[in-house]
Amino acid sequence: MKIVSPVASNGSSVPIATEPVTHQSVRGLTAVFVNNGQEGMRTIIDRMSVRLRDEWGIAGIVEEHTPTSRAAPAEILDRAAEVGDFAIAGAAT
Amino acid sequence: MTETLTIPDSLDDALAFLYDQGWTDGLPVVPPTPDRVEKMLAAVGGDGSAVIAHVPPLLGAATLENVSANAVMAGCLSEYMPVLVAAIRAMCRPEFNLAGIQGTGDPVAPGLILNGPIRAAININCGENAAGPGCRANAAIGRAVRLVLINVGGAAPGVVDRAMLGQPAKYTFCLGENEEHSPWEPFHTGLGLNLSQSAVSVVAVEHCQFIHPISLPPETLLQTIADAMCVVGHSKHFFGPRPVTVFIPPAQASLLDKLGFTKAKVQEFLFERARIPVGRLPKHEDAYYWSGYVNELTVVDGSALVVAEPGDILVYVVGGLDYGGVLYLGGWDARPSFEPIESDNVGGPQ
Repeated sequence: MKIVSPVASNGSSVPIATEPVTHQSVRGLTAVFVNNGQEGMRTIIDRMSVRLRDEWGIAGIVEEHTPTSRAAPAEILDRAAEVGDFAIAGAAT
Repeated sequence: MTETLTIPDSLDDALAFLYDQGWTDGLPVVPPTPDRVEKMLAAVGGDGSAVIAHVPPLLGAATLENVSANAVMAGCLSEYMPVLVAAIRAMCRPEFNLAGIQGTGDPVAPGLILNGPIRAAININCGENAAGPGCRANAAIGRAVRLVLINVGGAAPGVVDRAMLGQPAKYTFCLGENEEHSPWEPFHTGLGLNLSQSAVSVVAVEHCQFIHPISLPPETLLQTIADAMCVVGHSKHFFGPRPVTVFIPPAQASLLDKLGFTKAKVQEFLFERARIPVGRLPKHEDAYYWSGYVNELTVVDGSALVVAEPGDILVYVVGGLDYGGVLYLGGWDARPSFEPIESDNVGGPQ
């Protein structure tokens, strides 16, 4: 039978990771943290940055701020992709 | 039609195909064949390519066509389409924080509450078991919303939707206010609409708590609701006050009204009493990762506010006519959003 696709034909151009991220797959890459501007997110980034550098071998950490949003909309991810290899986006919790 | 796919002809194989694509909520769906989708489109009289909204977090374009396809899959009747269109528009407003709702580890679902003549027109259940199973309109509209969130917004469970546990309301949550048996004005008239108009409210539902009517004195019932609002561990007690929703059955509302409790007075009563002594909250250094959370609490006289103002307690009259308890919906980091439901409420630029 024929069906109509229920899926949007557009959206963010950034692919979403669908497989587990491993130490090996991200070593030497640059990560972009999407910071939603909350104080608590600052704490998360500080802690995770240390682990990503020391334990995962991430070469660079870049922050992208989204002060008007609680999370990371697609356009922010698109912009983050211009300066890093992958983005870590946090919702409020 | 922008994209037509050929899938197996047998129903069993077709359902397996749709499931394997990740396009369902796990339950069997109605295959969105072109004739079924055309019928949905005809009900809203719009161009299938017309964009209703862009659905976070992937900002996929919700067109009348792909929304219709998801409505078919969910089991909607065509007359539900104006409700679905209005709900999607409401959910995609920034204040509803759909990007956060879609990606959070918390178990948050959008809840839809309908007001106005549309309820009777499409047989929305506003009475007994309104929040439960048994009514096609309630079940299918809420389910269609979930499918749009997955297929257009990109909230594939386990991929973008990273809820640690989730909750059943993420399958469907849609009901109507029981205006006909309410002593108070319908919710949507408080938004400036009139009785001949219809509207949808979209609220963030982090959990549902039934509150038994332990005692009939209104202050006792309301104090019990306030106590339930003060449960420690809800996310809003880490991140500051958040809007919440209360469903009061008609009989309880009528009793409150007879004793002088208007809806505004109920809101004021709950606002004044739903406060948590800060000593009951986890200590700052005990917080797992959110060491900055205490900065976002609003503390008055040593107690944290559960909501920022009385108006952030949304009160609807919902349920059957017997005396019964109240259903309290814990909110989340999202403002409620509202949208009129109108026959021309389709298509067009945003």
